[in-house]
Amino acid sequence: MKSNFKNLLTKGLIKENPVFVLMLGLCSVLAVSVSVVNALGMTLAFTFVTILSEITISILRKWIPKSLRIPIFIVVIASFVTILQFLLQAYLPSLNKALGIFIPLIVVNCIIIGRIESFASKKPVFESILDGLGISLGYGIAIVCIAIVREILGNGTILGFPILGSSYEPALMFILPPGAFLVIGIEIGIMNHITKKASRKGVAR
Amino acid sequence: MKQNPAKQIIKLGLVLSTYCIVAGLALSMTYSVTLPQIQYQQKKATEESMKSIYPDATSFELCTNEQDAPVFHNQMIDSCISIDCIYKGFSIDETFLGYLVKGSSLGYGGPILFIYGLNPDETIHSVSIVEHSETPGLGANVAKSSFLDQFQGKPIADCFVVKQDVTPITASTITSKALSEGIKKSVSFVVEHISELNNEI
Repeated sequence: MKSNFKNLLTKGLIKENPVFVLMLGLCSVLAVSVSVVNALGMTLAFTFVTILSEITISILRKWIPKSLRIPIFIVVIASFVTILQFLLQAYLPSLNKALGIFIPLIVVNCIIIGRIESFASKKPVFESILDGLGISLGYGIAIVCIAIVREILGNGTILGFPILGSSYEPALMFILPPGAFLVIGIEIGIMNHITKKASRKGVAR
Repeated sequence: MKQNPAKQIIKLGLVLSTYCIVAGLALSMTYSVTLPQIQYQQKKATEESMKSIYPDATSFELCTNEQDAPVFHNQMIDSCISIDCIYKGFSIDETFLGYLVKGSSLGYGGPILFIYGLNPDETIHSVSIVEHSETPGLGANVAKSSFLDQFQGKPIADCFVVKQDVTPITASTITSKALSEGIKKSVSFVVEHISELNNEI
């Protein structure tokens, strides 16, 4: 049972990474990964909505008629996103400004509704929390990995601190949309290469 | 086990409305709790942007008309340029420092929200960018002092034309033009209607 819990928490990191493996929610990943700070902020926002929605749906799962489940999921997710937006406006206005339209767009992030449909609406609360945490971590790792590469190459900084020196002429393309596609493609390629190698090793043994 | 379809619809409708009512209550509660804080943050942000223009100013007063409504609120000057509102800045001994004009102009990636100080001697005090969505690395340099400093102390009689008396941002002519024109046209409008700003109550 314990290993089952651990599995719930870790499967989102690599095996079922929502971005690199399941290829879900790419829109916000591509758009927000301009800087590491934005990526971390987006991860926090995403985690808040995912975990609270999964908890709510998991508690209510016996009172959700099957034919109404999608509208109810949307109502729950949208409410948490709106609450999050109020809180950000009130207490972290700079983050709210940086993430802009991508906060309201968490509502239509298919990762969250996917996890609720396939997991939280069927499983008890504690497992749903672990699932939400695991998926959010996986999302966070993916978006931060992309943001690190884009910020270093495209702006010569990391978390706003210059690291490549003033002689480095930033490759602007990396903070523009084409750079996002390039970096995500290359990172998915690297990840596939590593997992394939690992699974081949597993077979050989 | 087959239910009457009408009954089924009513039942589902009731369930869904219950969920929506609960969600609505939760939202209105959060809203009323966070509203004062949100307003405080917005006020603080506006004041900070005004302070960045007149660092010596200690109080700002919104220009209003007899009905207590802000003068030139959302005043469109042309299809791209508008004035949001105008403040007056006062120093600690109540001397009038200048007008603060908040406005927006359509740039390359969306509206550029700017604020600038207009000195009584008809020069621009300084300009700062409140919000913009220009291309990072190109048009986004509009918010940098390397571009904005050239407006400091610029007489408003100048023509504000890019490549004549305004040095544009490299490879971002549209953005540079949007800001220069935004300032020029809004400033002309303000100067023309300056009597309406001094409606002493």
